[in-house]
Amino acid sequence: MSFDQLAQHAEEIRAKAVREQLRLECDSYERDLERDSNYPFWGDSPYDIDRKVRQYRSDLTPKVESMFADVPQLFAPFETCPDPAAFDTPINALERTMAKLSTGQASNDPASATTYPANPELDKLSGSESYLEDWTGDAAREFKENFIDPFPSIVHNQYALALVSRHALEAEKSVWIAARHDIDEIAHGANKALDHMYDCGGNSWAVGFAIFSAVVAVASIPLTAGSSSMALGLSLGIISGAAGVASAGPPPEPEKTSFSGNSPTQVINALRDAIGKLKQGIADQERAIADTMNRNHNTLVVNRASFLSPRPALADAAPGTYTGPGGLGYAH
Amino acid sequence: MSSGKELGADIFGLWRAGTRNLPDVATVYAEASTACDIEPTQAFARAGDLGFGPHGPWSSWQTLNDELSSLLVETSRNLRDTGRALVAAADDFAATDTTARAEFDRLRGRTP
Repeated sequence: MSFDQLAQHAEEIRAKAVREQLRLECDSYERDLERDSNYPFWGDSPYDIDRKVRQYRSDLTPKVESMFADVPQLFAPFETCPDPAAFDTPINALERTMAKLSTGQASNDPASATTYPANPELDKLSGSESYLEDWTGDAAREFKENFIDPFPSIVHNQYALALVSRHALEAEKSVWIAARHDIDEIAHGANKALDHMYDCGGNSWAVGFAIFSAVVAVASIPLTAGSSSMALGLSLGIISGAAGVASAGPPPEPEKTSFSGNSPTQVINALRDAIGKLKQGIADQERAIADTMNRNHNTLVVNRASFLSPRPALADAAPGTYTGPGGLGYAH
Repeated sequence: MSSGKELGADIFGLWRAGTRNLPDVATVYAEASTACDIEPTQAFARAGDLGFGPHGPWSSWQTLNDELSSLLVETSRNLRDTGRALVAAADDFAATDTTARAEFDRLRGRTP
């Protein structure tokens, strides 16, 4: 059984439940007829009983069909659920952004323990300080103090944003890997339970619900301030896919939930419960991702100056004003 | 206040920062912003009633990622425009002192 065949499995489960329920009811009806008959002295002949059972089955079929008609719809949303592989391209894109903004040691990824080597091109901004340090004008001083000096912190905080954005995609990818695994396991278990409804021990199945351990909140990444990159007392929350988080170790074996039934109705009710639990798990995990992103966005909005240096006055200086005291002044 | 050849060297420093250092870092930022300028709406989409809304947490994620992209674009633009200002300033200063201009031209000519 596999995820790609989910619709086919759903139909198999529905058809099997209908068939088994009809068989149960018709067998019971047939036994009642046989019990009430003492042919050839009185009551129905075997021929009459067979005819009545066939009529009973025909009359009962629409009702039984309707009892399990929702089974394909239970699975249908999963047939169009997101493809985990679709997140690889945007994840790779954000990794390229992180690599561009990495200043080395301080920019390690605390979630995956990946080290992004420092991008030496970034050193060219601090390298420009020596060209400007002898100039005395307001704009020169402002550019050094407001742009060059805090640059290490600004670039670290921008890198941190890229990191949390990337890990949120990892988390979402992980949700759908787990959801596909779980729905497949549920379908497999229900199908098997319908085959073994009357076997002792064979009419129950356990679902691991990987969905509940698919996403983990990782230790947050602290923001920094100033040229010394000192801690700002703020951080961005990281949420990621459990499988890619180094510090968490291997994901814990999920606690299995058992479902059972010794009739088609009971098995399908257990199936409905299991799918309901999976859907709730997906919603909870996605809500956790959204909440983390919303909190990070709030931190960004409130502390925007920690993520973007003010535009240097030089950038907007009018031609002819560069040499004045409000511009670069003079060199000494 | 420097003048003559010393001023020429200082002007060369402005020009160097404006033509190399700042534009190179601006390019890093332009590339970083281009990489993260993504809208993976379809990756999040699902047709059925599943998860946290029709696109899950996409909207929250996209809002934050768009902010990241715009921060990087703005940083790149600030660096690029400041670099241009430094180059223009170098020309203005060079126009004030012929000896400084000669030294500036000499150093600039040696620059690969």
